[in-house]
Amino acid sequence: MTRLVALPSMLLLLWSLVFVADSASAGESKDAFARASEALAKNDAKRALAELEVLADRGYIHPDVSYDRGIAYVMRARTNTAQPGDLGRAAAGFEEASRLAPHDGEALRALDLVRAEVARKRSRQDKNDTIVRPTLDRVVMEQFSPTSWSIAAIVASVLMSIGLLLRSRPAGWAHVAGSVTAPIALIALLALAPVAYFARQLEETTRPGVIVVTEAALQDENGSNTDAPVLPEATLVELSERRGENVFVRWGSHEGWLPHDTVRPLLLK
Amino acid sequence: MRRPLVLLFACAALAFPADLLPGPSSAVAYAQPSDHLFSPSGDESATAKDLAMPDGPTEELVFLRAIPDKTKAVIGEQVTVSIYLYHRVAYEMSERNDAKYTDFLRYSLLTDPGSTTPVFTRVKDQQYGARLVDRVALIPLRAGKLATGSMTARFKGRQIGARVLKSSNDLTIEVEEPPVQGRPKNYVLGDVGQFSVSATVKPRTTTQGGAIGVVIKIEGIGNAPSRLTPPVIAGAKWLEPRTRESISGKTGKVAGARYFDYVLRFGNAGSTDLGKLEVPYYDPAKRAYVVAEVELGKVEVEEAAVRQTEVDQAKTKNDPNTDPLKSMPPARMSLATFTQEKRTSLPLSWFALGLFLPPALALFVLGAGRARAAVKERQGTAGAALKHKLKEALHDAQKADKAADTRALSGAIERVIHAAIEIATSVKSRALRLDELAELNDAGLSREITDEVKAVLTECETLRFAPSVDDEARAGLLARTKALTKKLSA
Repeated sequence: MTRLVALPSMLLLLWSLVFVADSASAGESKDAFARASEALAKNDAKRALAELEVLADRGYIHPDVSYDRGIAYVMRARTNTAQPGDLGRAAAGFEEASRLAPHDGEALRALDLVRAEVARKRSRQDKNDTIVRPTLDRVVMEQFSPTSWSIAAIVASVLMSIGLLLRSRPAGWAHVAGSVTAPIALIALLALAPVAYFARQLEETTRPGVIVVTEAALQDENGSNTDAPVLPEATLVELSERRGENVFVRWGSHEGWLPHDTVRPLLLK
Repeated sequence: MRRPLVLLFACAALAFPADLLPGPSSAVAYAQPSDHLFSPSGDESATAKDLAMPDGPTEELVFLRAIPDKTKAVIGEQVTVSIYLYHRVAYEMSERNDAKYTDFLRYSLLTDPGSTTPVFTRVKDQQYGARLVDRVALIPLRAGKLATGSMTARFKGRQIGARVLKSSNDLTIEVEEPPVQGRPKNYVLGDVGQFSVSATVKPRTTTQGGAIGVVIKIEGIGNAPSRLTPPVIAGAKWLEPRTRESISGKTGKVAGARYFDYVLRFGNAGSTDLGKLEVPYYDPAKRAYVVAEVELGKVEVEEAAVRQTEVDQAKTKNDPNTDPLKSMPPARMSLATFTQEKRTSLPLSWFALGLFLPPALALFVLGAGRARAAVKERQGTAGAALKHKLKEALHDAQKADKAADTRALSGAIERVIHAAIEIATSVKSRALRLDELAELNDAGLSREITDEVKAVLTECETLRFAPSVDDEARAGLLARTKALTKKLSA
């Protein structure tokens, strides 16, 4: 009898502790954000950044926090304490905010302004940047989520199975329907299954990142520069494997290694 | 592809005795510096006496000899190296490779090696033809004992052999810096020769912020300066010059002109004196430094009116459009409600199951249907065969009855009964003994039929071994069999 009472009590106590710790952490994060906002209002980019970077290190995800981090970096970039890569870090904040809240027009506008400023600065230095577009496979896979692609592939598989069963009927409308459905569904399955698989792989093994140095050059396994054009600040790239101090980066069709501190991964999950 | 230089000197071969065997490939080290070997007119002045070698390698039928005009020089001073081919038999030369001259700047002085004519000279006590095959002007780039490297070529001939490799002697030139004493300011190591300097300044008037062109021409013999130090002018800026040159070694000496096209931009208005441009160099003939000078003259710079574009630029300096970051949206002061969209990711196992299970099920259903149909078909075929067997056995029984053949009748009736049982129950009753026939009850036959089967089969056994059987008993057995068959079929 005592045991029966003790077990639920302990579970309740454990749950309470977790809940209290979680609430305390959330409260602390909100306080940190409030302090950062206050610093931003006073144009104190340094203090705001200290608070906002702590929040990012804690893994606190909120579009407004990311957005204000972008604003703080822009603020610092406009002062004489600016550091190389500030605009890239600002772009990372806005990119993060726009991905967390896709309908956040302000974040998108701020991102455009930062990229315009980077382009303006580079054109003043007579640097012509190559326009690099994502490859077709990335464009196709990013149209829908991996789960959607997976469900579509499963639906194609089910339709093909039904088609096969109907086709086995001796004659009549069922046989005709099966004869039409089965091959169409098979083609769809052959196309959708690999797309779904690679979309899942892509989601699991890669994450977006932004260049946070003035410019970066992709390197091959031996550490020599590849033929790819230099990546300007604030460029959105795809990050995958990390090896030692380097991270594997894909930019359009160009691939190579970059020192990990030249890229800021986006905090999205 | 390098085209082999093939030369035939048949006449020369006839002139020389052919009693010597071809020698091994080797580098020949005979390089006395000879000033009077060289003249601007090519190798004409190289006389038989100059080229004679009292201690030469007469065991070599052909050999290459590199001769420098001097073995000591200062950095930037021209050293001329001539390479002669000595021969006393007919030969063909191919695969010629020039020496590397790693530490030298090289100018070729012999544009057409095929046009030179051989000089007959003596090597020890043998007569040889000596032909100039290459002549280069070398400008040493650093101090030290610098090796020129060897020229190589392959030779073939009746007495020489096939593809015999010959190398010229590797020369060592001792190079030092020009004296430090008396070295002028802005002197650049390597500027050695005799030069004159002239300048063209165009236009002589410009406006504030404008620019003029200044062309400096350095002309003479030797290694001309490759960079200049223009005079410092207050309020004006020299831009990086564009360099042109027309330098060659056609005359036996490296000579020509080098041009520096400068753009000079003025920031201040007024009359500006461009000053004097000095070009220091070391003259090896005088063994002294010389500074060539040119006066650049004055340029009138008019004060420029403030341009409208500058006014516009000043006006728009604080315009947000000129600085994209000025129109940055404001920071957020409070956290909006945010619930992160939970992306439900389908587990891989579910994905694989959803992908493969439906076709697997469909294939299973189709397979099972086909298997059932096949069993049915097989069963149908077996039933027809049994019916045929039954019919045949009945026919045999009737025939045996008519023939009064009791044994045949018994056998036929047994076949009829077993076939009928197999059709009805799928049990092969022939394998059962009479006392085991009760098992047919388990296969679905009634006890009455089983008893009748047992009785008929027992009677068949009896009849088979009876000495005589009347017609009535036979007919009765056949009738009972037919009746039993009907019951079994039902």
